[in-house]
Amino acid sequence: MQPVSLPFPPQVVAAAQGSLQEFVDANSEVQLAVLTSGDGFEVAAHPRDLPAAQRLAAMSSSLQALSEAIVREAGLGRARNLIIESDGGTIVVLGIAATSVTAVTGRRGVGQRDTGPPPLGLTRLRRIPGAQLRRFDFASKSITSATEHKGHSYGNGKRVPQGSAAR
Amino acid sequence: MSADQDLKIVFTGPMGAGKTTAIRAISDIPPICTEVANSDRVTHAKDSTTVGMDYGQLQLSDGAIVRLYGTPGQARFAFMWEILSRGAIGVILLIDGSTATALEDLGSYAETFRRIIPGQPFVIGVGRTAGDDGRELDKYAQALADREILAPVFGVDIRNREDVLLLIETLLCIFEVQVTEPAYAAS
Repeated sequence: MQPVSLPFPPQVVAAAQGSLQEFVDANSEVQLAVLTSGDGFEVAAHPRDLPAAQRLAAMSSSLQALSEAIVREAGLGRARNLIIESDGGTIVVLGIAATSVTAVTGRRGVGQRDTGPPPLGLTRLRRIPGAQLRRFDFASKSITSATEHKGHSYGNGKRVPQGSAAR
Repeated sequence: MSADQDLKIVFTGPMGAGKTTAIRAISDIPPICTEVANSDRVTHAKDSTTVGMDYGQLQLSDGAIVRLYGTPGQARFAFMWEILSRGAIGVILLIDGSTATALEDLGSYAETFRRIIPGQPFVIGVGRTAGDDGRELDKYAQALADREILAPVFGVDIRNREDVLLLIETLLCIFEVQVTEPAYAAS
């Protein structure tokens, strides 16, 4: 079968890693985060050497796509974010244009496998062209602020705040 | 086969083999698709790729509904292969015969799905074959035989409704033989 890792341009990966770091810094509850392409490739991860990042990236894109499908089926327009609440924490998949961020919050050790994905929140950023990486309030399950990324590839470094982006 | 039967069939195969296209070709309902932009143009040049699943339905003449599930092709979505295969009565494996890895793909997907749903029938559809003489398909049959997997192999154009129906009808025939014979033996 095919190799799993796809070489995104180094500057794209660096920008994505920077954006993801900002997201993690702004969300102290987040233990893991993966920024993925729409088709499930890891672009950036927190922590950087997260062993499960590639698997989480693939699963995130499936969840994202299924969310889109059911929202479409229900005639509700386009899907935005997906929240999965579990015994040990919360997983959030944040749709960001054609990419997504999956963030995981929570406490380790709540009936979780040692080798599996950590139990907390997982937020995934989908496509970054024109994407938004947002502050996610895990207590209220609401997005409390937003930062707009503009560009035609994963976080090309130009971050243009938009007047309507917050809330 | 009676109308109260609800049959589940899985379409699988590598990226670009035509799983989504095949389900679109035969579904009685507007199919549910989960295609997204493809960023891996090395593996396949197509614009979009399935990352969740495809779903369609086909009603048989006796009223039974065949539920059609298509998997993502890439190995990184193998977790979906297992989820989608639960309760399936068989697998239709699609292979793009024009690719250099066609025989290798056949072997790896057949072995993987043989493990995921052991004992259920397989039918192989090979698309984009060079010419239509049977010798081309013999290679695929031999590759299966080498792995001790018994499955019919057809050359198909998966855009063609009749071709896809042939694969499904063949799978249902094998399935019916399998479910009928134990009853015969028991009586």
